[in-house]
Amino acid sequence: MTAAYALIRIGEFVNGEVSYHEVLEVFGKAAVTAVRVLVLIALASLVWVPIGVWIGLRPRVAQMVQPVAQFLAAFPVNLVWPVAVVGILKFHLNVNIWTSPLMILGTQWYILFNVIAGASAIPTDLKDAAGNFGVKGWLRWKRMILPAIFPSYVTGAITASGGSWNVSIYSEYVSWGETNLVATGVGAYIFENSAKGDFPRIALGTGVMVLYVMLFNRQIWRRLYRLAEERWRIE
Amino acid sequence: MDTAAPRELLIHLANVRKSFRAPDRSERVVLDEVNFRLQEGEIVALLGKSGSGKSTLLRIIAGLVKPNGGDVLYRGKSINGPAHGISMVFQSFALFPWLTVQQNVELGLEAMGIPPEEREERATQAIDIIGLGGFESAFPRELSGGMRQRVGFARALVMQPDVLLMDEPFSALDVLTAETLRGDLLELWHDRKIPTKGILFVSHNIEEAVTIADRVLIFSSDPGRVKAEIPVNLAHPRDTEAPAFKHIVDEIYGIMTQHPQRAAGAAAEPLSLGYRLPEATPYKIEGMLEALAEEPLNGKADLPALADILQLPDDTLFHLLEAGRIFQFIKVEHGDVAMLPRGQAYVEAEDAVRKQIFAEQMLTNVSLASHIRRVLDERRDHRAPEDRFIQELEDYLTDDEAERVLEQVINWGRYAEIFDYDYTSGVLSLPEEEEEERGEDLPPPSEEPAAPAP
Repeated sequence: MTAAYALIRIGEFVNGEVSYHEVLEVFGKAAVTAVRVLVLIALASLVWVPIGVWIGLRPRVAQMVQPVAQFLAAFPVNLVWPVAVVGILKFHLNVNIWTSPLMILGTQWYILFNVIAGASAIPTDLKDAAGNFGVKGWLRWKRMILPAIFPSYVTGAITASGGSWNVSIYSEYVSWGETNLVATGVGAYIFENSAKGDFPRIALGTGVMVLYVMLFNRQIWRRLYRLAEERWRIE
Repeated sequence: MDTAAPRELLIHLANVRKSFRAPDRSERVVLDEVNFRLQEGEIVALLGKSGSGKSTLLRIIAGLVKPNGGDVLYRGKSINGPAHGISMVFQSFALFPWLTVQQNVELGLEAMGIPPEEREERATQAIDIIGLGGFESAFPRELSGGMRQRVGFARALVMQPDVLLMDEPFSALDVLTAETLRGDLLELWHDRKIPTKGILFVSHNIEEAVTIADRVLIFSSDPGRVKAEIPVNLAHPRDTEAPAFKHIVDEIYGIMTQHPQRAAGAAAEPLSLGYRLPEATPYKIEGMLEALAEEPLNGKADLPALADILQLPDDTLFHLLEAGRIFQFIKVEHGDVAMLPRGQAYVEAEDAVRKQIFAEQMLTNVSLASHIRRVLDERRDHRAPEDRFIQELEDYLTDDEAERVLEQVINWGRYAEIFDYDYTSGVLSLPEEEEEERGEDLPPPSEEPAAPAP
């Protein structure tokens, strides 16, 4: 209800200032950002799920890794961006693709943290049972590890995805000295218009982004979460 | 002596030793010089107090834990990792919550690479034999504890195990459910409806062990060793009221309550600071003493009779008996327990006097209590942080155990009103009244008399 009301107010505010054509364009840009978020979450998951599981199943390693991971999570990722700008310019890389990793740099750790927590919470008896019945290799992943970490993985992925949408405002518009690299996306749109102080457009961009994030949460994450809660909870 | 053809040796352990490295890098020996044989046609029970390494022993045989020394053989071959032919049933059931009953039971077959059709057929058969037919598509959470453990059994039996290992399989179930499941398992075993050749199980219930097993092994703790072996040559089904049955139960109680000094000279003296105080609340100790003093026991009982009246698990009873012994309220000998004069005085006294007697016995016999009291007496503000004592205890015990022992002595000390404890600040102090009395001949405390956080 509140969300609908807010959308109507934003609509009123934007109406007259911005053409319908531009509104559609912003929705298109948000779709590009959405694809970016999804692809990057998928890539980060491919990297961090196996690593997180490996760590989580080894309590001593988990203990040692924790402070390192906390440091990495607290590290201000903006400091890395100039490196990206220099790299993209030097190798003439596609701005739309190569600025994308920046948005996951700071948020990927949520996936790692949660997967570690999920894997270390697997009861010893369950691991012993799998061992006793000769469950090894891919079967062990399919029948034990993946279902066991699923709920905490989803939590991590939701947090990482939400964070990445926010970061897109900076990461789709990267500057270093005189150089500006602008990717297509709703993040860059918001950034450009906040630089100009164009309130209706900021409202439009932000509104569309919020709409997408809510849609994402409803259509993807919440469903996965319910599945995790209902079927894959360890009692 | 068995004059028939020699029975095959299923499991053979020789001088098995297992130790763990505690987080503080000290080494803790869990099993030491354990020798054990399981022969074809035998059911063997392992009994022992917690911390005697029984569960670890099962996991060593299951190939889940590697021993630090000694030989572990299954049919003459060394066990390196989980062996096909040895299946395990867990106290916690250890079912996969996201798999149905059918999928849980099929899991081991799936791992063997057996095609789906055969898997399904064999699993259905195992589910039927264990009495779960109709529940194939249910998830574990939909089932009661007893039914869940039936899934645990079906999952183990579908592998047609040669050796069945069971880690306290019935202890998470209520008495009636446990009895039914136990009976069903014994029926399958005696009627040879399962191909299993030998069963080894851990129990904490003496009567259960004697009901099922052909042989009972009793483990001592710290480190775990085989302390005694009792054969049970009674025909099945066994009558728990029969004198021969009761005699064996009695004998086992006797062995399990023997004082540790006789077994191992290195064990801590009962009065040393780092003695592992038993887990027993004053009210439970009180209850035990009252039951012992009253009709029909009148101050003397054999342990099974006392266990029967108190209706407590054996573990809990042993802790109570040890507490009673430390306080010199009772004496325990050859499986019999008898009231001592101080115990009698305690039972006959009123509540306030009971506390006094408890306090006196505690200060004389529990050196940790008198030590804490002395420290508090000597300090000007009569307060001391608990960490101080935990650190002292850690010279003798692991971190967790040190905390547990201090918690236990605090529990007693509060009841006896020999010291007080504030949970939020973790500070021990003398009880209020005494603090005031003593405060008179001391200069007033310099700080605000502010109480620790509520």
